[in-house]
Amino acid sequence: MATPQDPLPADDLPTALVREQRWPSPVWLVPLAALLIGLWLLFQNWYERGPTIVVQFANAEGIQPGKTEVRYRAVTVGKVKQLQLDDDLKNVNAIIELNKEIGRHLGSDARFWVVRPRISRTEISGLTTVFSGSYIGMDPGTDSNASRFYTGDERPPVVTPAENGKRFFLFSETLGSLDIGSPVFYKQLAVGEVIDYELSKDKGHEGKVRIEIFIREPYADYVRDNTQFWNASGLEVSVNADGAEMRMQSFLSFLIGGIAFDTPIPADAGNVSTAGASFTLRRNYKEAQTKQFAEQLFYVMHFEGSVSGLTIGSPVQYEGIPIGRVEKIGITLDRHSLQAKVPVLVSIQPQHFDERLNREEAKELMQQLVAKGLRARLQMASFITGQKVIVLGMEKDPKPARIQETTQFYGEFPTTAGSTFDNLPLLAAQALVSLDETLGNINRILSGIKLDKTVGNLNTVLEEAATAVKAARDVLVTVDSKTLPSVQQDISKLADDLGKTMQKLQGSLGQLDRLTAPHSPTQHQLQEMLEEVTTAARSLRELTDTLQRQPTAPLRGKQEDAR
Amino acid sequence: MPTLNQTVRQAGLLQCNVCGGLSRPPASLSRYSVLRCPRCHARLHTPNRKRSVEVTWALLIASAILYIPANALPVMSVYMLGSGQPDTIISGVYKLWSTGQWPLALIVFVASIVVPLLKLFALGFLLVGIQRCSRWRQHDRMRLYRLTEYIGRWSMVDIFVIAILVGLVQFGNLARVDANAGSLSFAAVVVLTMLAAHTLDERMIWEEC
Repeated sequence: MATPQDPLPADDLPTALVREQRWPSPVWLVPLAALLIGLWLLFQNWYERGPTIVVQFANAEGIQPGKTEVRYRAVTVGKVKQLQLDDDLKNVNAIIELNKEIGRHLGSDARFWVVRPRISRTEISGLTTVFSGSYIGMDPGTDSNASRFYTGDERPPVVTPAENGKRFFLFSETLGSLDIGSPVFYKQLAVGEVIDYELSKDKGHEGKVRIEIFIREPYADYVRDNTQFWNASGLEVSVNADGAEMRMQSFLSFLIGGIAFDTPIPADAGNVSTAGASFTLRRNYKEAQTKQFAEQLFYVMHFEGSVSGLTIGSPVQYEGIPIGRVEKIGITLDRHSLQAKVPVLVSIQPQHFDERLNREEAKELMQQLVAKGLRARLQMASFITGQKVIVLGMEKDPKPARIQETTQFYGEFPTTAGSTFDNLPLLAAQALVSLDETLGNINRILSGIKLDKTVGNLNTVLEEAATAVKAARDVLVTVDSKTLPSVQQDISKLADDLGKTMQKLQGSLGQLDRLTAPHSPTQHQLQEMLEEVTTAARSLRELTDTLQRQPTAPLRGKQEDAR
Repeated sequence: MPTLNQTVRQAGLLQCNVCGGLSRPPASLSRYSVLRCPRCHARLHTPNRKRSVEVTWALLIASAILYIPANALPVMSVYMLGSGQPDTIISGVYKLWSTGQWPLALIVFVASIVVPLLKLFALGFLLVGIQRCSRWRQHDRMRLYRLTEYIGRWSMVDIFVIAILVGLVQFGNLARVDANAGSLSFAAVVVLTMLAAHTLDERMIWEEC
């Protein structure tokens, strides 16, 4: 449209170059890349997001929403997003967002606890949280069935999830001085801890305390089927014939209590126990050392006379080996006859006789033994303390008896009267009285004239005998001279000998006469000796009197009776 | 009568932006034709407006896409004495606001959220106006363009702060600052919007279709 006045003649101008470009500009690769990167970032963010769970705590002390972390092995694996009070205001629900990795391993038995600074008698832990604030510790559990709701623990587990080892259960009558965190010793090495305890509801262990312990690797393999656990709390002092013995696992266990275990020599150690196996916790080392068997037979025994000195736990012995114990001592009064009976319930472990016995065989065996004469009787175990034991022993000529299934639950075991040892102090006193009398009598005889008379009598007897012999000689001479001339010499020789013997005997008797003369030294000495014996007998009587009154006198010294 | 106000285009000619050489358009133009200066071979503006703004559009769309992860992902983690957590831009602003530092929160909010967003919308608005040959308030649109190009760079402040902190604050457990994926996205958003603003040919605001 250039006009002639146009200063720029369009014709002179070159034509613009033309190039075909069918494809969109490569600059569109930029938004494409942005799109891919953005999608990838968002996908990654979404993918790494783990499950959101709710953990219930009793209180939220130290937990801050949006800040408190969840850590596993000191690695942050999640965060508390929100805190909510329960509907009934009793608990706090912490809504926790976990990351992907831990979410994959989250199990139904996962545990959560709040880590705060904690000082107890067994440990000081969580000091780092003084600076960094509390965090929530966790153990993802064993399976991978993640749940949405968990209940948080009040205190951290004693054993961190990082440790390898096995858990075992111990059943005990009482907890003793054990606590969570109390050490477990093997050969005085601290190899584990008590991690939990509760009153057992398990079948067969009702009413006992179930103590859960954790034993670290590699020591867990030393727990075998027949391992014995015992309470090693404090100091164990025992006095026996070998002297006094003191056992203490460690100063720590002396202060805070502990459990020790021991396994017999490998040959009969049994298999390595699997985790979760149950054991009985013995009260002390001594109890752990005595063999314990599973099968127990219960019998009721009725004893004549007092059972004082018999306590629950007193041993039942067979040939000196404890094979059972007294479980219960009761008393039943017959209202009509007003006769009291003292039934003693005992448990016997028949596997002491043979480990392969089963229950039925053991019952049968006991019945056979009783038929053969096995009887129970009370026996004094210690004259000093007056303790008694029940001894099972064979009677020489037993009245036939058998275990009678009279009582509702337990068979009645036949008993026999206690041995004379039982009433020893009384018997000894009686014996001494009669001994005293006897000695007195002897004394009287010796000091009196009766003996002289007796000797005189003896003399007459001897004289008569001499005459008799003389008469016999006459007879013999007659016989000799008439019928037996050959024998005569022998006889006369014999008669001579006899005469000599008689003379000697007469001499001896004369000496005896001198000895027993009223003022002879021998008699004096004999009298003195008898006086000594009398004195000794009197002091022995005094001793037995004292012992009867105060059985503990040899231990504690003589105490004056309170007036 | 040719007037002094007559543009090159009104004269039916093409002018190269690089060397200023004038040229005549070819007799026939196909839809995919791209014209080049016969002297310096630089690209010539053509009446095909779709083509001329496509670079700007591409960059703008890219930055708009990245704007999402930039805000959704954490940009920075500050750990002090073992505790700390990654923060997104919004959560950082919220934290500042909740701790009472609302002037600071306002600055961060404006610099990191409002400005990039405004830039995206402003550029989009300008581009739409150009494509539709709008003649509506061309002066104001020109002012908007200048403003956009000017303030765009200030969004980089965030990125610089993160870069400096990550470089300086590395005291192990005492204090530590880490950059997260969101900061890269955010940096990309700022850079791409700046490039988009730069590639936008403001002369087209004035051009007639």
